[in-house]
Formats: sequence, structure tokens, C-alpha cells
Amino acid sequence: MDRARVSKHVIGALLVSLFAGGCASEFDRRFDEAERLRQDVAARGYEWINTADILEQAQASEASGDLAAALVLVEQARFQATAALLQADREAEAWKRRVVR
Amino acid sequence: MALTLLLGSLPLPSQAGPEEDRLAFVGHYQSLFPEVPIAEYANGIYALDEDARAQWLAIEDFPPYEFSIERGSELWDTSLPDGSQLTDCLGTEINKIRPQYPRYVPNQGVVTLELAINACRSAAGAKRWDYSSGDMIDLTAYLAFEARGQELNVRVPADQPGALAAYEAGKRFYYSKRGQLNFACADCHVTSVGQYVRADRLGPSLGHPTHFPVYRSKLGGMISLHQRFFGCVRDVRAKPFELQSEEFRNVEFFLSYMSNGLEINGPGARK
Ligand code: HEC
Repeated sequence: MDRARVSKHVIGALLVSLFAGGCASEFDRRFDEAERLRQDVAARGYEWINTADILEQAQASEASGDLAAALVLVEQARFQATAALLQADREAEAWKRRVVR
Repeated sequence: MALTLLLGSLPLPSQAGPEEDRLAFVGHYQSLFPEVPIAEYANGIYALDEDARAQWLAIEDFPPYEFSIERGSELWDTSLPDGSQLTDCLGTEINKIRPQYPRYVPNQGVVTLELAINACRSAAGAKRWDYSSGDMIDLTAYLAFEARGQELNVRVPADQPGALAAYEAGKRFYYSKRGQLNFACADCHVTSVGQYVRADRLGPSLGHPTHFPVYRSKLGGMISLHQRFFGCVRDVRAKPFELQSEEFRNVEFFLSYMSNGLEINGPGARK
């Protein structure tokens, strides 16, 4: 087992313990937030290649009872969508500096 | 007038007109590769890379796209459900068809050759072709072949503000970084042109649209220009746009304008 997978599970376990109590709804809340960010960035034409796939995997993990993995995946997707939104914001002006003159 | 002066004094490089853009674009490659004649850019990376060029010329002795041209010519002669033929809709001077595209049409946006073909099919009661279908690619291969030697001549008419907007959108797309790898088309095909990305040498965007569709030996088949765009967007790990999406049509419009004056030499053969 590689380190990435170990730390994934550690983070997952932490997230689960943080939100123990209202787990299922916590997943839904975080999932919806990530999905909303993904849609925002898609509307701006800046979606990254696998954000939607990661969210799908998150749903599958949650459905199979692996809440730890599901929360890690949602967090990954949220991170991607947030970074892509920043990219879209920056590029609103930054592209002009690259135009060949 | 006052507004022009004001804008002129502000750093708004995106406001340069298409013709100014084109001259600067051509000038960029010219200053990097002063020994390469402009007309050579119609050959893509083979304008810059002698070894690859020798291999390519050997391939061109038995063009792998010949079969596609033949199929396209059969499709051209096939009658549509209402008894008409594509020539009735697209034009009778076959060598003049491909050079009319891409063009801006008010209320429709950028109309590419593929879009025009499907509009004609649809009007004649035929099914629209999928943009990645062999039929569509073969027909465009045939029309490109017939148009060999004609020059790209994309216009952004001053009396059509939508045309300039589409051009600007394509330009913006081309220069914007996107995807997880945070790359703009220009980062590879302008700034790093001639350099290697693994085994591939980055080709110039000047001339990109002249030689499509192309046969790719790596894939063992023909691909359209938009399929190539799709691949490059995917490679920077951005979610690609659909073939013939507004985004890709606008980039085609922009890049074709940049290549105005170069000869159409499609279909082509590539690695
Ligand atoms: C990370 C570098 C990179 C980026 C970014 C990139 N490409 Fe490419 N592209 C390549 C490579 C490598 C090839 C194959 C070699 C060549 O012909 O340039 C290629 C080939 C092409 C070709 C085919 C050239 C030919 O003559 O057959 C087109 C068209 C193209 N790219 C368009 C684009 C567009 C449009 C974008 C932006 C959406 C883009 N590329 C972004 C690396 C890149």
C-alpha cells in the first residue's frame, strides 16, 4: 500500500470523526457545495478534466458505505473546482499579456 | 475620436485589430525562424524539422489519406433524400467551397465547413452526420483536396460586430491558460514552438488549419481539426469542448485568420 493511500485513509478517518453524528447529511452538504462549484466553473468554460468523475466516484464510495473515502474525494473535487475558478478569474485579464505583438 | 485616443493610451493589447494581430503573429515566427519561407508554414511542424520532414515526404509518396478522398468523392456524388445533391447547396465550383469557410454569419456565429455540410444535409431531408464520423471527415478531405492551392481568406467584416466578437473570443481562448496543467495553446505553439514535449516537437500555429483533416499514423485514421483541438485541451487536463462547439469554432476562426494567405493543402499526414 502506498503512502498516498495511507494518508488518504487517515484524512478520511479524521473527516469522519469531525463530522460524526450527521455523517450522511454532512456528505450531502459537502457534495452539493463541490458540485455547485464545479457547475460554476463549467459555465465559465474552465472545468478541469476529471472533477465530475471524482464527484461520481465520491457518490459511489458513499453508496458503498465508505464514507471516509467519499469525503476525501469530495474534498479533492472541491479543491479542483476552486483552483479552476481562480484560474478563470486570473485569466480574465492575464491572457492579454500573452498576445503576440 | 477622444475615445480612440484614450483607449490607445491604455494597455489594452487585446484591442488590436485582426490584421495587426496577424502581422504580429507571422512576424513572431519569422523572427524565430528567419530562414523559413512563410508559405512553408502550411506544412506545420515539417516547416521547421528537417528529419521529420524527410519521413513525411516519404509517407506522402503513398498518401495514407487517399482512400478518404476517394470515399469523400463518392459521398459528394450521392443523391440526398429529396433528390438534390450537396453541390446544389454548397456550390458548383468545387475548388471554391472549402476556402469559403470558416465564415461568420449573423445570428449563426462562425459557420465551419462541417456545419455548412450538415445544414445542407438537413435541408435536403438527410440525417446530420456526427462530427467525428468517417463520412464527415472523408467529405471534408475531398473538399480540401479539391481546394488545394487556394488561399485561406477569412474575413472579419467591419460592418458585422458579431464577427469581431467571435474573432476576439477565439483569440482569448487561444491565449488563456486552462486545465490542471495551466497551459495556454500559445504557451506551446507560440512561446515554445520548436521545442520538444517528450518525443513531439511543438509546431507553429501559423498554418494549423490549412492541412486538415489529417491522417495520423499514431491513430491509424483520419481526424478533423476539432478533434485535434479536443486532444490538446484534454492533454492540459481541461475538460474538452464538443467538436463544433462555439468555443472550437471561434478558435478555428481566429487561427484561420492568422493563416490568411497560406495555401490550403489538406488533407495531410501526421505522426
Ligand atoms: C502542452 C503543449 C500543448 C498545448 C498547451 C497545446 N498543444 Fe496543440 N499540439 C501539441 C503537440 C505536441 C502537438 C503535435 C506536434 C505539432 O504538430 O505541433 C500539437 C498539435 C496541434 C495541432 C495539429 C498540428 C498539425 O499540423 O497537425 C493543432 C491544430 C493544435 N495542436 C492546436 C492546439 C490548440 C488550439 C491548443 C489550445 C487549445 C493547443 N494546441 C494546445 C502540444 C500542445
